[in-house]
Amino acid sequence: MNATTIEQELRQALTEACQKELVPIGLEDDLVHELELDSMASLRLLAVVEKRFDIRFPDHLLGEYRTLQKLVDFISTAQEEAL
Amino acid sequence: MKIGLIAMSGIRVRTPELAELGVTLPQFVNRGKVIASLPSLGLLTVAALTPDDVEVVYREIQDVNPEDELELFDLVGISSFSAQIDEAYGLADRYRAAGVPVVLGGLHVSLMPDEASQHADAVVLNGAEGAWPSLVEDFRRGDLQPRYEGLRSGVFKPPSYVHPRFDLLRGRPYNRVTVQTSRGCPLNCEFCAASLRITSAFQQKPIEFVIAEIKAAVSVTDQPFLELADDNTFINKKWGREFLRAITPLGLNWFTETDISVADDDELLDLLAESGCRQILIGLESPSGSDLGQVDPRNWKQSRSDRYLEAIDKIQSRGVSVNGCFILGLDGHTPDIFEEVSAFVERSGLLEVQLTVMTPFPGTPLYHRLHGERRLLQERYWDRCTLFDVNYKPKGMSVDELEVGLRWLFAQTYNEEQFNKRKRNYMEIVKARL
Repeated sequence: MNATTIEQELRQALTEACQKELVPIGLEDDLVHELELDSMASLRLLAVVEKRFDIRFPDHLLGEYRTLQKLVDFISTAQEEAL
Repeated sequence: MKIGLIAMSGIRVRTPELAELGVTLPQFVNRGKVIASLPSLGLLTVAALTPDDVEVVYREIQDVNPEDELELFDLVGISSFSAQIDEAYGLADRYRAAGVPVVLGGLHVSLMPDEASQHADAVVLNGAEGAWPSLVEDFRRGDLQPRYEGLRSGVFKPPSYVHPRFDLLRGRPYNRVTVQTSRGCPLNCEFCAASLRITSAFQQKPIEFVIAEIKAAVSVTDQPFLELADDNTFINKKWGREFLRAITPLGLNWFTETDISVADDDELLDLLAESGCRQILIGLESPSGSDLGQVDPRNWKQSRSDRYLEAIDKIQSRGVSVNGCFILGLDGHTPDIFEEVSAFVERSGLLEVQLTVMTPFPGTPLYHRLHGERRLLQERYWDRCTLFDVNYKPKGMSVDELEVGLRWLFAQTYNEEQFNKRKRNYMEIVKARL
């Protein structure tokens, strides 16, 4: 899966999860800020991404994945390593 | 006529070592910050009870800069918790020196009216319902009385019931808004300094009133997170199920406080999860039933403690996280309690944990008992009623052991590794439900 496909799937997954349209959100925008997520909503969003892409974020870095770009990068790397 | 209503609800740690821990362990003071940032429902109710021809201005203490000149009104109403009551008295004294009559109200004032009267032209005891309208009329006639007693029952029945003035919050930067569905709690815990002290019995608001209030409250902010300002929302399970069916279509995320019996009702738990409830705060108080004797008159919490783990699991498995609250320094506690709580927290998978020290808030049954047993460290310690400062001689350990144990437990619980474990546990629960 290339980065563009991952981004599209990611946007779709997050849109479903938070019931908000993500189109205006840029790759480097802070999702927590833009979507006004509280701490639990942030965790739920990460859980959705983990399940959708069959990945696992490192527990000690959960607070780092706050932009679409960082999520796309992590998913790409994880999928490459899985091959 | 213009009436100024000033809310003072900040809580802060007084002990320097704990304050320092709070700096390095942000979750430690998280809940205190949330409480301090909530609007004052009591004063919004006072505003609603004020006649339409009177202008009402709502302020919070952070709006009042002590260096600035006072914003003048014809009459000022101030509401505060015990921890900030001395600052409230100071502000009241300044207003009175400036010739502005002052009315004091709130939980502390209701429990310590003689003390409060020294700083006020009038005090309002209990809720404002049944008291404020006549106070305003007396003031207009120049006949303000020194003491007004609000209703202790029937506050949610018309004509006493009023819809709080949530419109006064418009434009203020709240990330949480509050609505009260009930007043009081039948458990009647000895230490409790909440609304049960100003009610004669548990009172629950009709659901149509609650929903109307919620709609009004969330309309004042763009991204509302709702907090129910209750002491025990789901005492009445039938009411609870009906309420959950009514709140679900609003599509909100929300938080409330209740007791462990919420886990008895599977249907209610399912509705809770569907309704957008993200977290419930439950006073577990202590992991072991043997420590919970006499906490409440019927020993209800003691009878429930052996099912705590099972109940937490049932609630959290539905995606609703539990904020488990523990009180350290109960009479049954020895220095072993700190390791016991730490082990329980780890075993339970609680997403959030609130650790507090037993606090004899003035006027509560606990205060009177400890006063009678000569166990209070000072006669007057209201600014230390923070839930984190030790104000009494514990029974099963020394003051020093309690303070040292608390700091150890805070460090054990509120560190990054433990917090990450709790976050991971919550994520796995969410994933299992997807």
